[in-house]
Amino acid sequence: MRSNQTAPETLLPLTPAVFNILLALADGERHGYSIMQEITSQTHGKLRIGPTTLYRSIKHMLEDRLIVESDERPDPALDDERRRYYRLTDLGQRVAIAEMNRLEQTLAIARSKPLLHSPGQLRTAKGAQA
Amino acid sequence: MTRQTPSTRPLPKIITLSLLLYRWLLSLGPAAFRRDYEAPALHDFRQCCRAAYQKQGSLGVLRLWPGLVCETVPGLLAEYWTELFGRRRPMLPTIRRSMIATFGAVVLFLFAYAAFGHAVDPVAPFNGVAHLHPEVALTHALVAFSGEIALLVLVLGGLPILFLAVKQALPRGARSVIKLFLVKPKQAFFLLAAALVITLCFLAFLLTTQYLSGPPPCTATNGCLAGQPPLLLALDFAMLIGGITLGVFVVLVICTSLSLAVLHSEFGRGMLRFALVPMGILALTMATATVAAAIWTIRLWVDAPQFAASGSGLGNGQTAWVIAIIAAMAASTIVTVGAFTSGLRASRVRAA
Repeated sequence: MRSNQTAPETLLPLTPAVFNILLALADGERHGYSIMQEITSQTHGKLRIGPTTLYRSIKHMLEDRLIVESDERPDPALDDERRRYYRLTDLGQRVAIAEMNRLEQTLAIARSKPLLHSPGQLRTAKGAQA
Repeated sequence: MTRQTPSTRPLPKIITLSLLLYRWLLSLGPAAFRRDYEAPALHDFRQCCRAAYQKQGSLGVLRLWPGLVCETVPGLLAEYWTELFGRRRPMLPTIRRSMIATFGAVVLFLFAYAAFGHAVDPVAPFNGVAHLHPEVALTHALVAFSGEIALLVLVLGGLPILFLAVKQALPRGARSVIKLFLVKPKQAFFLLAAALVITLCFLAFLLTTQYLSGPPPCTATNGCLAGQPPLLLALDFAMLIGGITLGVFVVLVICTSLSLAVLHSEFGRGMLRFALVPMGILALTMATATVAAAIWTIRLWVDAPQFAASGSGLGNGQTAWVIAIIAAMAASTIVTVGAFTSGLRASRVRAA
C-alpha cells in the first residue's frame, strides 16, 4: 500500500550503501554475501561494506519497502538454507532511478563549473584515478 | 567416507577467533537487531573470512579486523539511537534535523538568558554604572531585547509547526495525537540519566566556584549548608539534587516530546522553508545577545573594576557564573547558526 503512495523523491538522498545495494539487486535477487561481493565488484573495490552495514541497510530498506525478502531459492539443493535472498520492489526500482537522476543533475552542475575544466584539475583527477 | 563440504570442514583457528570477535561485537548491539540479523551477518562474515584466508592466509583474515570493528561499533551505536528515537522521516530530513537542533539550542539559550538576568539582579547598582558608562547600558539593553525577541520568535515560529503536526494527526484520532508527543519509557530513562548528569555537573560547578571564591560567612538565616548537622546536610543535598534533577528532567521531556512530534510528522516543503525564517532570526538575535553579553561583562570590568569585583557586582563567584552563561549562549548560537546554514543549503540544493 505504502509503496504505491510513496513518491521516490521523498526517500532521497540515499546513502552510498543503500544506493549500491539497490544497484546490486537490479540484476536479480541476491543473498547478503553476494550483495557485498557485487558492490565490491561494481565499485572496483572502492566501496566495501561489511556485514553490519549491509544488514543495517537491509533492515531500513525492508522497512521502507525498497526490497523484500524472497521466498524462492535458485537451487535449494545446492544452497545454504540459512541464506536469505532479497529482491527489489517497484518502489525500490523507482527510488534507484530517482537517485540516479539526482546524481546526474549534480554531475551536470559540477561539469558546468569552470574550475573543473582547468587542465590542472583534470590531471589531478586522472592521477588520483591511476 | 563422508565428503566434507565447505560448511562442515573445520575452520582455521584464525577464522574461529574472528567469528568469536564478531559475535561478541554483535552481542553489544540492540536485542532486536541481533535477533533478526545476527545469524545472517555471522554467516556472511564467515564467508568473507574464508575468502580472505584462501587468498592471503591468516594475515588476510587479520586485515578484516580493523574494518570490522570500525564498521560494527558505530553501526550498532547508530542502531541504538534508531531504537531510542526512531528513524528520520524521508521528507527534507536536513531541515527537519535543523529545526530540532535549533529548538534545543534556543531552550538552552533562554535558560542562559534567564540566568544572565538573575546575575544582574538587583539591577539598581548595575544601573548606576550604566548611567555613567553608556556602552554598558547599551549592551545590557541589547542582551535584554535580543532574549525577548528570541522567545517571541520561538513561540511565533514554533506554534504553526506544532499546529500542523497536530492537525495531521487529528484525523487518525486523539490517540495518534498523544502518540505523536509520547516519550517512550526507554527514552524517559535516558533523559532522566541525562538530567542527573547535568545536575551533578551544575552542582560541581557551583561548589568549585564557591570554593575558589571563598564561601560566604555562615549565619543562622542564610541557609548555609555547611553550618548544618551531617544528617540534615545529607538530606538537604539529596533533596537539592532530586529537585534540580526533576526540574531538568521535566524540561528535557518537554523538549524531547516536542522534537518527537516534529520528527514523526510529514511537513510540506513550504512549511519547512517557512521554518528557515524564524531559524534565521533566532540565529541573528542569539548571536547579538551573546556578543552583547560578552562586551557587557568586559566593559563592566574595564569601566568599573571595583564595583565588578565587589559583592554587589560580579564578585563571589558571579564572574565565573557569567562566563559559563556566555559560554552556554555561544554554544547554543553556534548550534543554531550551524543548523540554519545547513538547512538553508539543503533547501537550495533541492530547489536546484
